[in-house]
Amino acid sequence: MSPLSPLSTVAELPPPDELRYEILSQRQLIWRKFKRHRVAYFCMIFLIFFYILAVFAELFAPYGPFERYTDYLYAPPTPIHFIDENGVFNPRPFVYKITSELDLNTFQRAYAEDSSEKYFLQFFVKGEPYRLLGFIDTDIHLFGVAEPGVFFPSGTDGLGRDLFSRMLLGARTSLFVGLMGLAVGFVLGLFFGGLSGYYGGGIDMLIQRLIEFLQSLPTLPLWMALAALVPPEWTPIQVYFGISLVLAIVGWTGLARVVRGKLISLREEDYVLAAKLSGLSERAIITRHLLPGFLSYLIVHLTLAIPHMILGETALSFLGLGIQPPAVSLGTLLQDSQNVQTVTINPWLLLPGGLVVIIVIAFNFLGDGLRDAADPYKHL
Amino acid sequence: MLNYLLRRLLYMAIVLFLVSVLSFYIINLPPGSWIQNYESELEASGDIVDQEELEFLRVRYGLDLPLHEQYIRWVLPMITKGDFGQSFEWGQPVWPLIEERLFLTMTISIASIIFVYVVSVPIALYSAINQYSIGDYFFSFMGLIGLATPNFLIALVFMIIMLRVFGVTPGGLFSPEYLREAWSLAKFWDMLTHLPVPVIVIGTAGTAGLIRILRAQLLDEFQKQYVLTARSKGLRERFLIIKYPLRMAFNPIVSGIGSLLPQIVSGSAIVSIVLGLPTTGPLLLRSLIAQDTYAAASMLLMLSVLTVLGVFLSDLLLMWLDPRIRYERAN
Amino acid sequence: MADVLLDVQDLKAHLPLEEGLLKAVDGISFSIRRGETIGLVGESGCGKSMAVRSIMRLAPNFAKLSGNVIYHPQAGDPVDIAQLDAHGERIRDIRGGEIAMIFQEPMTSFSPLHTIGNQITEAIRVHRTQDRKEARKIAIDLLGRVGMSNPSQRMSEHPHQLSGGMRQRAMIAMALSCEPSLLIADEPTTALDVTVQAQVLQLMRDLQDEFGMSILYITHDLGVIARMVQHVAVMYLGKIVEFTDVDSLFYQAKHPYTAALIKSIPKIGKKSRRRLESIQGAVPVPINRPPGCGFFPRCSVAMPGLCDRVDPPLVQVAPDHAAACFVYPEAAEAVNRSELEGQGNGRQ
Repeated sequence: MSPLSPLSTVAELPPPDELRYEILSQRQLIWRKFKRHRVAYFCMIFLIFFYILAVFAELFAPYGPFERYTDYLYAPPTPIHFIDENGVFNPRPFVYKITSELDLNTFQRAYAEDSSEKYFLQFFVKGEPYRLLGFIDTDIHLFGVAEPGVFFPSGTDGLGRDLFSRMLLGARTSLFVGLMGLAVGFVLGLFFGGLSGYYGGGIDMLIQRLIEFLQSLPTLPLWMALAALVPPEWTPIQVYFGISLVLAIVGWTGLARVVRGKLISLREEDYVLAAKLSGLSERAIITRHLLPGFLSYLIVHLTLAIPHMILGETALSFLGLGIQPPAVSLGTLLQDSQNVQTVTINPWLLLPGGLVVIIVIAFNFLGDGLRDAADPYKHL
Repeated sequence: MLNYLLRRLLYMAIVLFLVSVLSFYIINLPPGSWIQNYESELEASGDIVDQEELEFLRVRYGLDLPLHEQYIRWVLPMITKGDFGQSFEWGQPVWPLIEERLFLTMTISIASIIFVYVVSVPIALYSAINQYSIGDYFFSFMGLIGLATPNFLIALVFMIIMLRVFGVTPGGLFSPEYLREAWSLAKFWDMLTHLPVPVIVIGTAGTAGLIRILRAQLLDEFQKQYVLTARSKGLRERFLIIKYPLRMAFNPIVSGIGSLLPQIVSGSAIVSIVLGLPTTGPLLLRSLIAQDTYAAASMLLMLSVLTVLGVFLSDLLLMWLDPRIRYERAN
Repeated sequence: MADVLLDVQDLKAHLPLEEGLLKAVDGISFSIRRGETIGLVGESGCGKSMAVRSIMRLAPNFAKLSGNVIYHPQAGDPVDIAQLDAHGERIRDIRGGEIAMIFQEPMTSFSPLHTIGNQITEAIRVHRTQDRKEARKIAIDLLGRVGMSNPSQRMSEHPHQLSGGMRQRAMIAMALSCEPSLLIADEPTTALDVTVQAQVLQLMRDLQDEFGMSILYITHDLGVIARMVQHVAVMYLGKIVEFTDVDSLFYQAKHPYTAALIKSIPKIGKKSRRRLESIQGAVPVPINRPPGCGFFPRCSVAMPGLCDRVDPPLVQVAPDHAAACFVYPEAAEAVNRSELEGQGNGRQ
């Protein structure tokens, strides 16, 4: 009926897209899915950046942690300016001289800017000498202002110490106490969880009861009791390890549960049976088939456990049971804000708390992103 | 069933025994003792140290005995007479010292749990039904902040706001006029009016966590076949969501009391310290630092009793809610 | 055609996913007459379930539906289900009351927390009677009719106390509780043992004789199709590729896909050393599908340059037999005709 052949109508159509196939390894797939999770990706970069900042804290801090400026007790954060008093824009940021006056009625210092003197922010300023990474002696600080100008990005505490510098150093302590506690907890969790899941039976029963027991205890009182164990005459380093240990002793149970549950469910999988039938050794089954099966879970769990550790350290140090001054951690910095009157007048003392919140949120997002990416059944 | 209950009770008894041993030993583990602390305190304040008096105290409190005998001296009267021993620090029996504080801790914890549930269930339901809506994102974000902020920081911020905006220093559980009063209806009412701030502060983290869990749980349940079945029967959406997925999601929530309760008790300890509430938290902290063994161990034990009991109750509730668990345990 | 119960016209359900557009159901048309049993077959993932969910308006909220689903009730005017408010009152009347559904997994189709009785009477009380006692009576009666022993005791049992077969019987009782005109059965026997499967199928046939409802039977099991249905629609990648009566399907399959499917059925008694035939390749990912016939990459008679560019429409190729393949000149003619009419090919 039709004079046209079917092909004639088709000729004008564009050729079909070529199908592209790519073979990706499991790790590449996870990485790909993870990168699509923008927030989590951003948080990861932020955390890496922050850890670098913490490791090189002395370099990035304009002042030493114990350097006191007795003229500037409870000084508010120093404002940074680009436009000077004549309304001229300066491409280089600067701060004005800060003057202080003691109000004899309230006995409080009032700080004001003196626009007659200004100090430009500079890179690589010479300041208090320190030992970078424990072996490089130097006195270069990444940024700062020339003496006699002062620049306190987050204000000062009651002893006139720069809060920003102390926060960087404190963050180092808190971040790494978290990691330390995690490392210990990881070993404990893997050990007990593995034992429990692998052998089952009586050992499993015993360990499960132990975990239930530990989990049914109120964490903080337990932490408090354990932290009270840390002898007061210990050096800061020893206290530091002690606190990590305390956090880990309470914190390993969750991981042990995950490991056990995963081991048990994976042991039932057909592919494990298949591996057994094909004569693979127990060790090969565990390392080649079981471990990759829950490695991603472990990583996710670990990421989500770090903020718990950080919060734990902060709470303990805040109560005076954790890291002890003069050692600096985010928790000890917050001790200064225990007095409500003081904080109300000097609200910047809460900034370390804000830092804790940001770090914890970042870890949570990162963990969520990793969890979604590691879930083979979830398509993003 | 009876069998199961008996087993549970036995298990609880074992747990509490372990807690008592553990807390007693942990407190005594640090070098030194309360007597030594007391001595150095006296020295520091320039007082004359009377060795005879110290020796008298040592014998009186049984501190010269080996640890396990001290333990028995503490536990036996506790079980037989309800006598928790003497607080070294306060020089008086432990029980009257902690009785009211325990009661207040319990009140605050229960109130906080109620707060957590009342707030998080509707929000989670809203968020799950309107997934990816602006409201959902808002609550998720708030929840994240709530989870990430240490309790004591929330307490501090609260107090600052109260001080700045209203010019009042919050804190405490009673108005000054009731502080030394005996319990009465008026005092109870006064306490209730003081509850909201600590309850909100303590409950925030738990609320945030619960919203997260419940929302995920609900979304999971929405995908289940039985929801589709219910829809295919022509039920009203609102009705079927409450009857099926919400009810299902409640299971892990109820069993979650087990983990929520320790968290709440922990939270109340630190928040009480910041807000100056007369609960066990501040006293426990003092006793731990002073190595006031009997007081600290008694408090740790009683806090554990509260938690373990709460978990047990939530378990019973779960059995009542879920026929599958009932079935499993009956056999 | 006065006896048509349900008329599905060019039904589409497109799911915008993050990876791209998933055309789960891509323009299917068929109709069901009163008392008739129709089978919808296809591999898993071909869109059968999404198709019936769209008919019931139970597809996910974000799915884009189009086309018409005309339902002709016993009394009253025909209604286009596709135009109804998915949460409105009319569709809720139809669901359960006039079109009922049973599902593949008897394990998960019941809520584990509520008794069987509670879940069955609930449907009865929505559609038939407000009276608790009467609803209970109806439910017990139905449980007896689907062959459950001791029905009044079963009412107070929970799903986990029943076996899979019993659960599916209870499900059938629930679906039939409001005497629907159409029963949609989505793989109702797939999860059951073979013997139980046979019992349930027999039960459904008996109940159809008794209640006189139509059945839309969805399955990937050609054996079930042979036993149960009169007409069959074969689905592949969201489209119906062949529609015919059950005998023609097994003996004169027209579409290469159907033909290959039939060939892959193992035959009892036929001694052969040859391997069982299988269809080469795998079902393509249905997301962002290239134009052309979906079966093209796997087809043994494909015509490159044609089949991979234009999607063949479903056309009549024999009496009471439609297929969508360019092997039949009718398909090419239909394409050209629509080109000439200037309507273009809407399915590129």
